[in-house]
Amino acid sequence: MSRRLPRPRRAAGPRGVWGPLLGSLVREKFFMGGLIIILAVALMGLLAPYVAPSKNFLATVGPPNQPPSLKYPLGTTGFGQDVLSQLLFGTRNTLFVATVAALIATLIGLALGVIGGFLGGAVDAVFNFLTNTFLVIPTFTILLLIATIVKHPSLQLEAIIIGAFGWPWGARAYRSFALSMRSRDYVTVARLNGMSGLNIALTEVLPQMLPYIAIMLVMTLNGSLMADVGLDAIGLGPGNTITLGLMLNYAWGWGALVYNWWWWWLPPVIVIILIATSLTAVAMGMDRVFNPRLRGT
Amino acid sequence: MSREVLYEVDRLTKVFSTGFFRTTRIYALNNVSFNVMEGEILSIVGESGSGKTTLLKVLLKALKPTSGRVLYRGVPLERWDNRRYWKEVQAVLQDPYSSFNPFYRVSRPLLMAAKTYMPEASEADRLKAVREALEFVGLNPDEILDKYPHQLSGGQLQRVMIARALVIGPKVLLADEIVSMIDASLRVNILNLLYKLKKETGMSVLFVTHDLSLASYIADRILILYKGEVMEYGDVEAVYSRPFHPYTQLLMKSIPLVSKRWTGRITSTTIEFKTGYIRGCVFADRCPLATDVCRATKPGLAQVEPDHYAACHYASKSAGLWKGT
Amino acid sequence: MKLLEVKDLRAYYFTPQGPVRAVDGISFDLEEGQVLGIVGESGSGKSTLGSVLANVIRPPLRLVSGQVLYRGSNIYSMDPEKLRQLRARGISIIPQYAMNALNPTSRVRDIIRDLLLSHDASSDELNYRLKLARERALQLGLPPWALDRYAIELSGGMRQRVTILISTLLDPEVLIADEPTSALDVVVQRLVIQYLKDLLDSGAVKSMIFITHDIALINEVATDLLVMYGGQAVEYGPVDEVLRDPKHPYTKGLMISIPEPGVRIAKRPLTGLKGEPPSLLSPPSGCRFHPRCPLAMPICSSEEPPMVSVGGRRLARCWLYRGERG
Repeated sequence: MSRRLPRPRRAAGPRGVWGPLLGSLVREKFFMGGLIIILAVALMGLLAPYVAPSKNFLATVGPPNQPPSLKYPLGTTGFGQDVLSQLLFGTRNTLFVATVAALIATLIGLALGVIGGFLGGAVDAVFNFLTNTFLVIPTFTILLLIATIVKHPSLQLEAIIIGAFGWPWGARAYRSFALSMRSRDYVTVARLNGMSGLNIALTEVLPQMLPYIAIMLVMTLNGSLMADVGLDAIGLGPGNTITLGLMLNYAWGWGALVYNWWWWWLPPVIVIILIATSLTAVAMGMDRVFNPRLRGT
Repeated sequence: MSREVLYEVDRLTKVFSTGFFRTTRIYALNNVSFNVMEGEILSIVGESGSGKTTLLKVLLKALKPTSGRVLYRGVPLERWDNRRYWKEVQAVLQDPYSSFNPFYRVSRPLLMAAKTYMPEASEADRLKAVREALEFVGLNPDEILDKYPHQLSGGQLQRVMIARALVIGPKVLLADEIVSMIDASLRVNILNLLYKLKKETGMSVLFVTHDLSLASYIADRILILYKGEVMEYGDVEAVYSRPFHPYTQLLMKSIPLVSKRWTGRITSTTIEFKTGYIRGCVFADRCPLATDVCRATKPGLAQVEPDHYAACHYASKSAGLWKGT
Repeated sequence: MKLLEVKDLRAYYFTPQGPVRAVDGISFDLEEGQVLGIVGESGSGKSTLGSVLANVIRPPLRLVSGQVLYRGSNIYSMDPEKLRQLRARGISIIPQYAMNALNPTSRVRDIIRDLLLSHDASSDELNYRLKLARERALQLGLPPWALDRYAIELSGGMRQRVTILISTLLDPEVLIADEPTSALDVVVQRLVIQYLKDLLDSGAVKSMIFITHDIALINEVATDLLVMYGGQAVEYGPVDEVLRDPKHPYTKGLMISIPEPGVRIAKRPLTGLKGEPPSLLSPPSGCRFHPRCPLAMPICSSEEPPMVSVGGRRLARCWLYRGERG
């Protein structure tokens, strides 16, 4: 009787379910390929303050419109600024805005979608109405309006604005997911076990959604990126800093296309394409792992 | 020793309104009445569309009736606090694999049940209760508790679900087609387990199934549903040897047996799904004895023998024509 | 005339964890007028067998060895044109989960028309078969308007019967029915069995392979019985003989574990098999049934028993019997 009963290990465990899943992810070419590229780009942005030749990227450092050379690896802008430094810091700032916007959008979308879908009734009716209203609003038009009113928003403000309008698509998806979860048998069992609705939403429903949330997050990142680049490129971005979109705005606005100063606008375009493509590849790769039915096709 | 009446179901009706302007009405249950006593096993038999799943959901308090009443231990269902009710009434569902969240080990629902319904017990005592429940259902706790659902078979998972109910110690277990997804050769083991539960703990079981062969094995009484209404109800021995309702007879004739083969043919009648209120007997369009009386007025559940009821205007005539398979 | 000859058929699923040996050495012949019932539970490989016999398999399932000869020709080495002609008229399969096999956005009669045209029906045959379809629909208890509706408008049970109708419309010589009645109500099930037997009796269908887990149902339909366990055949013989006097302990276990209506536990308690279905990925050593067998002997766990004769046309795969190899 003095022998202690062996305790069962924690009810959830990474090895049991996630292990094989993570293993499959690592073996999935699209996922790893995209992941490596996006991480490389992110690293570029992170290291910008340390490796950029010209820490003050808006300062004139040399003669304007110089093509790439040893001194200026990517040449200079129409204002004599170092393009490489602008590229590094621009990547950093653009990624910052896109990431913060995506996080804001996902959090709002999750909160409204999961809680509404799961609780149903009046709460769901209200949240759903809100979601549909925001969906119908032409996002970019509103962004334009706000941006023209605010004139040169800060990076943070830009992120908030984009995030505040980017959540409805996610909310719809999360809501339908939560709705289907509601009628799952193990949710019924959890209720019979006396678990509260909130507990069930957080511990039973949400973990099932994690793969899906991951994919949605990546796609929202992509969307936020495009919205940010779009706003900046037409001149509605921040005034006293640089982003990839702003580089395009300045380059195209100051004759880079006419005079073929390709080193000014092509590098940011390439980086933007790299980010978008790698994010898409990561999402595709995750989708193929989480939806094994697609793997054979 | 008088046994308590646990459930009094009185003219229970559940109507679903669907369709464009909620104008289509589906009578999932219509005027269903029956009792369940302490320590008895009642088989609820019905095919698809019979309303048996809806009935179970009402008894689980997952759905509210449209009209009629359900009393549990003399108190209407809506007056029972959920926590108190589910301490006395628990369920095991049909699909063992979807009853478990694949993200967690199978110990989780067991420990959760213990935590909710044994709040003053120590953790060690709860674990002990869980282990004893697993042993009672024939599983080795050391081999089961740490596993994930995909590592166990359907039969094992159903036993874990029964053990979960056992931890709570209810008076009534609602079993919704619990063996239909399990191999035929293993079903009888689970049924023997339910019988053991009744004998050793006095638990009542409401055994919902579409399979008449399983329904009679452990049950004391049987309730036969068709299109939301009760066709026949009563003691198992009586209903199986002397089925009074033509629908029961049709069911009995259609079951394949190993011991003998079907003789004759059945006429192919088209079985259509009708919405809206059906005037008259719901079985009339398929019944060989149907007359205008049957199509005009519903037969009530009438007693034909002690503890044996049938809802048919011509019940005694039908019984007289019955010659078995 | 031997319509089908199956010789030592093996087909595995090649998964990342290793080969799943779903069909591991099945042999039998099928003659005109014969109905072979294949009975097995989960982990027996019976459904895989159905797909392999009809050559509708896809990776990761692959034929490993053995032959399926239809009228003497190997269906796995036919040229694609001959194989195409074989389908629907030669060997037709009613798939499992038949209710999901229909295109939900087509009308049933259009599905039928497309099928007939893709099997080179002349316009005479087209009209004949369409009329036949309407007659047979009534036999299956389908309402007359069912063929004119979109598949999605029909209930699950109706779609299942429509699939059965379509799979039998061209009067195939060999009909493979894989759990054709599994989701149907018991009365409709009897109707479908009656329909299939009518097709056999009238000669529209010359032979049938009926795959199911329900041993009582097999009794109503089959002339011969093949019991599958763990990817292998463990017993074979005329259905009456096998059911009356099962030789293999698994068959015996199956027979005594199934309740019949009216059998009460207080009077006649039944015991099911013990243990769990076998893994086809790593089956037990020796005889695949030995962990669950009440009569297991030492040899059973070390050596796989061969299929041997146990009298007449009967065969069993069990060390209890020392007959000639079958």
